Amino acid sequence: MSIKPLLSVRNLETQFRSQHGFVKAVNNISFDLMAGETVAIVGESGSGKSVTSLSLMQLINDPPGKITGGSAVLQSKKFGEVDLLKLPEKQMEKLRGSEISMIFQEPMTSLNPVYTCGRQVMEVLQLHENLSRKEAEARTLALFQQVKLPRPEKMLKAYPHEISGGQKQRVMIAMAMACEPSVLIADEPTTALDVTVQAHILELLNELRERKGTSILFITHDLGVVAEIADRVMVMYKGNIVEQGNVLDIFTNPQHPYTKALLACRPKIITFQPVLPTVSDFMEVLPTGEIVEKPFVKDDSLPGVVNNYIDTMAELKRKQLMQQSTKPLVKVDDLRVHFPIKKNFFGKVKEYVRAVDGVDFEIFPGETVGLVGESGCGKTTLGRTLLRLVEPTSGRIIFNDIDIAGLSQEALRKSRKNFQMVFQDPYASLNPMLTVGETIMEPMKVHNILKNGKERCEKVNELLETVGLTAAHFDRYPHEFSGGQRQRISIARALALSPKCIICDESVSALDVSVQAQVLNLLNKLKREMGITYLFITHDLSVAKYMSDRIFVMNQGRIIESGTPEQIFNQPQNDYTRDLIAAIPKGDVADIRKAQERRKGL
Amino acid sequence: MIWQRLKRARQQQWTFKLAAVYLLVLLVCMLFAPFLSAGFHPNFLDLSQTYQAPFFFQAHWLGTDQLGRDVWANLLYGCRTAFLVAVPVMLLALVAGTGLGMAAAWFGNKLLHFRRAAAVSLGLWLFAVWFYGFYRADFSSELDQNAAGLLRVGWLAVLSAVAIVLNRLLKTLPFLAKKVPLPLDELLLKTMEVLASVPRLILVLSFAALLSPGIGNVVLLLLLTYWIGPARLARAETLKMKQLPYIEAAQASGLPVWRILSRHVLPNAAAPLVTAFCFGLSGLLGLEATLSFLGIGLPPETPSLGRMLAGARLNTDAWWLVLFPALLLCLTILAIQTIGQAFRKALEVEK
Repeated sequence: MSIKPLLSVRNLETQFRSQHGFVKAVNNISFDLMAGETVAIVGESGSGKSVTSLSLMQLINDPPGKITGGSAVLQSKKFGEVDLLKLPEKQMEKLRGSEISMIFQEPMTSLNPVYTCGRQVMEVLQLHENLSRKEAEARTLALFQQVKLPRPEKMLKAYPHEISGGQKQRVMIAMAMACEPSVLIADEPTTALDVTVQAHILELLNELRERKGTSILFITHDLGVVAEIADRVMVMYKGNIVEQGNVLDIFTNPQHPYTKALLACRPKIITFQPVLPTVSDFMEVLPTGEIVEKPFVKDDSLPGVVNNYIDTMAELKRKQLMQQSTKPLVKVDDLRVHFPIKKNFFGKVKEYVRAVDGVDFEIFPGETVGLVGESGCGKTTLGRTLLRLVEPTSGRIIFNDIDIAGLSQEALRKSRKNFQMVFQDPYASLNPMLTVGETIMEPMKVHNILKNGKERCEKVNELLETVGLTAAHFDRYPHEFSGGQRQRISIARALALSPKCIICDESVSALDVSVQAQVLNLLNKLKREMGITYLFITHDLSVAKYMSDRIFVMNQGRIIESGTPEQIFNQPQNDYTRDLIAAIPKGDVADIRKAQERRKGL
Repeated sequence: MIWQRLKRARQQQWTFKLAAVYLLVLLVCMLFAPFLSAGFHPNFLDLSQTYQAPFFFQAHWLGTDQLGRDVWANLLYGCRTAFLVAVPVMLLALVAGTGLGMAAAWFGNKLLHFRRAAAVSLGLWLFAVWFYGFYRADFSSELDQNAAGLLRVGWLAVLSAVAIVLNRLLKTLPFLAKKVPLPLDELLLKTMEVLASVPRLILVLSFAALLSPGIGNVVLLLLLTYWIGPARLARAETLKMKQLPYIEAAQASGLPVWRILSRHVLPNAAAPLVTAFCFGLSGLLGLEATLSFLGIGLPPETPSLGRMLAGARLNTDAWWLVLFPALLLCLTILAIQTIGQAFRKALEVEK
């Protein structure tokens, strides 16, 4: 006898109206969710994974969206067997929060800032379970204990801004679990969190699932996370499920080229690859929308081997050169940046946030230094201070024997061409009112590089080609480009002044893994060809390991450990570094087995 | 890009087309008012024909007011007056307000510095100019206009020269030579708060009592209260944008401040500023009518829509004295708002 699945989705189709007619965001997908099971939906942005979950909750805004077909049969406790897609709004309201609930990506914005955390959870309970105020409060307290919030009594009365991001996500989970739903939809619940916090949240979700028998539909872009939590995986690509199966099967024996590409293009912690593979190495999308697998040549062909060899030689030569030059390009000396937070009656500052608290380091020409740390550790402030976008409180930044920290505004402006920055958010780092060409040309104009407009135009075209765009993109506006392309434009702009050093502030964090691989490859290519020095700021240790010659680990405004990636990963000296490394979901087969055993043990 | 989008708006929206045509016709009417007013001067009194009701086949085809002045001619010239007041005020307010607002937001309270000596000399100079230029301005009343003007310019030059010399001298003193940060943002905010705390009409009424009536003075007066809107908006927009990576990238590329403000901040703040301009313009057209209705600011011989409305007070049967100017005002304001909307949409960036 087969058990009926808790949630059975058949041929779900959701469309969005746009200027060019209807776009199918979710195209005819079917899957089952069994009781007590965790199913992960993996895909990159635009794959339709979030739309799927919102469709199930009937939370798609109409217009522009519309669910145009399919069924989603839920075995409901209240109503028996119901089709979620056809349920009237009144009944749906009764289901939402009580039988199906949802956790969102951004814990900062999914709690209402004007109510206390306790009130928001109590509201759900009072609404669905007809509890009195007292009972609801007691239940909320119990829930807060279950999600392991520290000092639950205090948390009841705390406002969202008073607690950390991880704690907020715990409150969200408490709220979602309040009425013991049978289905929990978690939409990228750990994406905005630090790795160590992420590990705790994943553990918590696993535990809750085991204890309450809740089924979880877990949506994520990170295959590493999937390995930790899911029983089954569905891989989505452009609105279709291209592959689904057991976690172990997907990781050890992926069938679809897209899945293979996703697994390959993330920088690995253990193995070293000179160039990261990208999705286009694995497959080709025909104009008809069909996906064709490309035979992936793993550098076995002669040109592949030769290229690989040349790359390795260039790499060795560069490293040698780096060691020879004893004179550092940048030398930072006891740098401090303090922000005032409290002033007394007379305007005298009483309390500071020590964002950067006495940092010393040297960067040698031609090397890539990775600066890793969790949010709030001061890494971004440090990067911005090197450019003097933030004024240092004290300390010296010596570049070419000049102390940048002491330069006057005008001298600083002139010296700016030596340092450039590539920012995190590709959507906000380009001026929407300027064309791509103007954006790249502007710094050259200001610093009087090259003689006239015509030469600069040629240089811009050259730069566009260097970063993998074409001269035809010159007159286009930023909104016509995708995130990865915009990041390429930002890189071209940074290159326009031929800087000695580029600071990459989380430059690939907002990109999909496949696009991330392309951008990382581009940065490495530029390093080899132009000898640029990078300060690579990131929260992602695997990216840092892949990119860097040396890694600095930062915590609470100080650099607590530094060394080559091998040193840091193989013999971490500091406890904090050890925790950080242990928390990364690696997505190894061994790890998956371990995670599954752990779940069975619960 | 902006023109292409405006073109698209023109093709798509009939309201935009209608408003544009209406404003164009109005502009032509105002420019050629002397030819279109059927031979009547707006101040031509015809006491034999007071309160003529409008009728199409007569000389005064839109009727006359209490003194027999032609309504059609007054509409044309009144509209001219309204625009002559509203457009320069709003343009100047936009330029001054945007400049001040952006500068205040960018430089904040700490980035700009000044010498104490400069502040002292500037203060003394301002006091002297105010004292001799406005407070004791009667010393030149016996001279004819040209000579008085020359004398004023002369005085200004002398005072400025004295101030400059004073600044040089004061700079030698150690206390006054010290550079201190200029709290530009604070200054601007407080000024705006003070000006905004007094109701606009009362401020204008009280200042109007001091100045002689005339379009120039009214423009100056209204400018005093109207620059606040654009300044606030520009300040807020600049503060918002200052945090964005593309502005930081511009800074990191070593762009000079004026270039960042003009090329990166201003175009992105254009959409709300255009909206503010249109709202301000509409408000000013109404305010000009209000002031003339009350008989303040503009000399009584200036033709105005407000003056015509005032005529209706004496004879409530004369509906045409209310209907025509009111209709003209309403339609014009509606048209300006429609055009403003289209501009805003064209300037706004697709996300």
